Amino acid sequence: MELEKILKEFKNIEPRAEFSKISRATILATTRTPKKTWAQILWPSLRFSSGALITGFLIVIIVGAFSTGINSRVPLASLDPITLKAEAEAIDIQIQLTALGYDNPLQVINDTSTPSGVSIKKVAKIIPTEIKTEEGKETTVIETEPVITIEEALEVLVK
Amino acid sequence: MLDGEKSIIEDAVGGEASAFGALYDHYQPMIYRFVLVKVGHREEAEDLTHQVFLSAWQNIHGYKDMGFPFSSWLYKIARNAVVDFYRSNKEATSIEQVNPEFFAVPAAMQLGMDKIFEIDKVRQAIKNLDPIYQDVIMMRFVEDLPIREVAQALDKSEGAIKLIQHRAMKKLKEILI
Repeated sequence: MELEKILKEFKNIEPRAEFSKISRATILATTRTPKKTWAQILWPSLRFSSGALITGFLIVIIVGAFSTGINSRVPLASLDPITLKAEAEAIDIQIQLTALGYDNPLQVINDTSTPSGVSIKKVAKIIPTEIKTEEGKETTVIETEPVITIEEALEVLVK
Repeated sequence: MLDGEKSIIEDAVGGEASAFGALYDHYQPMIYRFVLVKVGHREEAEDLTHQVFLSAWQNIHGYKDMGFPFSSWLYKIARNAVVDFYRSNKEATSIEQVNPEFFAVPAAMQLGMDKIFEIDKVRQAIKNLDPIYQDVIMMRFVEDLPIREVAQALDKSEGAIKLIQHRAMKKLKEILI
């Protein structure tokens, strides 16, 4: 048997004419899918990635808010308002107002008071003296000599 | 190859149905034979051939002429269709189940029954070969395609096709003896 010759006879194998006619008509009647643009190809993946990004962002926001809410309920001794107020009142603050006047001896006002009662009550002449503190360090302070009130000092400055 | 095939393909790519109809008329019997030898059943071969050309029509806007024949593109679609067919129908078709009616009636009348049985015997032997051997035998000896075109359709080098062809024929002869 000549194999190659028999193989050539395979060309006699043909589809049924009826099938070919119906198949051809069906295919050509089918509307073609339009060619996809780059935007159409990329859009599904972009949609997914942007959705994932927004979801992740929201999760971070929600978790962050939740953890902040938990932390705000934790009682901290250092943030207790009563303690804070007591500490603030106990602080000895020295407020020094300078340059009340330029051409008179009333140049420095020293006032020592608690924060709750800060007020300037004395106008002083500069009389620096050195005193020793409890630790033995020498500190220059200004002795105040009650001479006039603040209103009087301001009047002097205005003139 | 079809006369004026290049311009016909261009028209078909542009969406002209009559141009694609001309391509269908020319290439459909070739694809049908190719599929039939692989699947064995006439009805299945018809269904797959229909799917191949439907897919070709749906995707022809993406076809680019790279200097290779249009048939190589159709063969690629047909091979994928056959692979999908066997993937979804895992039960392989038995050779005994083959319907002998796959010859067109006029052709069968011309050939005579002895010739038909001889051809069927070879066809069954081909079906026992590896798919790549089947492809090369069908393209080279049935359709008379040049080696270059077969190489393009099967994504192999021309040297590889020559080697496969030699091995396929050797194996086929061994089965038929």
